[in-house]
Order: sequence, then structure tokens, then C-alpha cells
Amino acid sequence: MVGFILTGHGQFSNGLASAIDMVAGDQPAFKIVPFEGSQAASYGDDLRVAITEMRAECEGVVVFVDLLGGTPFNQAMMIANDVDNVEIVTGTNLPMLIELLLTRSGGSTVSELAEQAVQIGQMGITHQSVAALAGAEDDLSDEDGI
Amino acid sequence: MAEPNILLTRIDNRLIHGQVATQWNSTLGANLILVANDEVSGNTMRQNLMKMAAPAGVATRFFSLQKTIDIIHKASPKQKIFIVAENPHDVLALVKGGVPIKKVNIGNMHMSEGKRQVATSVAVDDADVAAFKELQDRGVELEIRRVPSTPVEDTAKLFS
Repeated sequence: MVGFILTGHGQFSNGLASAIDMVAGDQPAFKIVPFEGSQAASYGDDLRVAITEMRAECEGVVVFVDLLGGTPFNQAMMIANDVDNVEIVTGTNLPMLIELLLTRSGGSTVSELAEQAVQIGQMGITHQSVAALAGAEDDLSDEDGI
Repeated sequence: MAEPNILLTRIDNRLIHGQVATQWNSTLGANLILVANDEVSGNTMRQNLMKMAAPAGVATRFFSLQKTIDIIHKASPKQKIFIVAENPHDVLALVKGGVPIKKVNIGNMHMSEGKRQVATSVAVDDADVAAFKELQDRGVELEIRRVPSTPVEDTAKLFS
């Protein structure tokens, strides 16, 4: 299985982890590393330990970060430079995590999973309005059956 | 006619939402989510929101309890059905009406006045307990579980 590390500014990772727990329950090989102002000095080391330990247990690690160019991203990239089979996904959102946590045991490589995360994450960003909803038709009616 | 292929029936007072759409349905491998609920069967807004939540390739139906009872035996063998109902009384009505429900997953029954919390996400009153008892007496297997990856909680909690 590929391991997942989730990290971001402030309580970003704690909040997403709590949402994941509500929707999907407890997850194996999934760890958060919050980047909080009070522990800024040790953050890089904490993240390195988390990624290295996860990598020792898993065939690879995807690090989900909140913001391209932010400190969690920068630190993750530097660690990925030293540890093999570590890929980074930025702009992390709930849809991509929920989907990937379900599908990651399917034998995909770390980089395939990271690509899939980007696709699913983008699909989850939509604009909805009630006016458009009213015209929606059920397109899956089956003549055979109910 | 062959018996309808009902994979599971879930009690969830939020009906189709995140847990149901993303976790339960893929674990079960259902291709039809049937919401059996009198209120929703006449509420297109709620139906449209639930259709949006359902995974791609999974059909949704929003039938009243009576329509579910009337039509369920016309299901095609290709239809792998996941029934979602709001409460144990509705499930009991379906069972009494001849819907062949063998197993009920008890998911979310929210706390409200006059109810007592008996499991992590399940609150019941005496009428609920009586309905569960009758379901059991009719041979329906009950299981308390919020999402597939969380442990099953002891059904005895319902009756304590």
C-alpha cells in the first residue's frame, strides 16, 4: 500500500483529517503533520520523520499539501529530494483524499495515485445553482427493472 | 419472478449523503440506490441534491414506501439494490409489505428530544426499539455501523 501524509498551515490537516474520519472512518497508513506557528522551528524535522517512517513501512508515499509554494510544500519537496518514491500533491481537498483513500490499495504506483488525486480534486470543484438543478433529468432509467 | 437483489438496507436519517455515496455504495457494489421515503418521493429539490451525491454510474430511485412495496418484485436481476430509509418504522413497513429485506445496517439516527444515545451515531426512543425488536423477530439481521471501515457496534445496545 502507498502511505499518505497530509500537511498544511495551521489546523488544515487536523480539520481535513476530522472530515475524513466522519465520512470514511479511521484509515491505515495515513498521518497528519500540522504546520503551526508555535512549532515552526521543528516542523521540517517532524515532516521528515513522518515521511521517512511512512516510507519505511510503505512502498511509496504521497504527501498532500495545502498550498503550492508554501512552507509545507517546500519542506516536502526537499525531503522528496532525499527519499525515493515520494510524490507531492498541492491544493489538497476532501474529494481527492476520500477517493484516493478508497482506491490506493489497487496496485497503482505513487505517481499514478498523485495524478489521479489531481484529476479527482479538480472534478470536485464546481459551481452549482438551484436554477440549473431544476432541469436535471434522471438519465439512468432502466426499461428492464424498476 | 426472481427475488429482487437487495444487497443491504441502511437506516440513515440523512438518506443519501457523503458516507453513503462515497463509502457504502462502493463497498457494496450496488448499481441502484433506492431511497424509500414518503417525504422525499414528493420533493424534487431533495431528490436532485441526492442524485448529485450519488456516484457516477449508479442509478437513484425515490419511491414512497407503498410504491417500493408495489414495485420491488419487478426489479431486474441486473439491479443490485441498496435501499436507504430514514428510520426503523419505515423499514418495518417495507418488511411487512413483503419487501425481502434480510439485513439492516443502522447508520445515523440523530439525537433528539425524548431519545437516548445508545451507540456512537444512534439515538432511539421506545418506539424505535419496538420496531427493531419486531424486525429481529421477523428474522431481519441488524448491524450498527457508521461507515464500512468502522467496527460493528453491539446490537444489544439497542435493547439495553
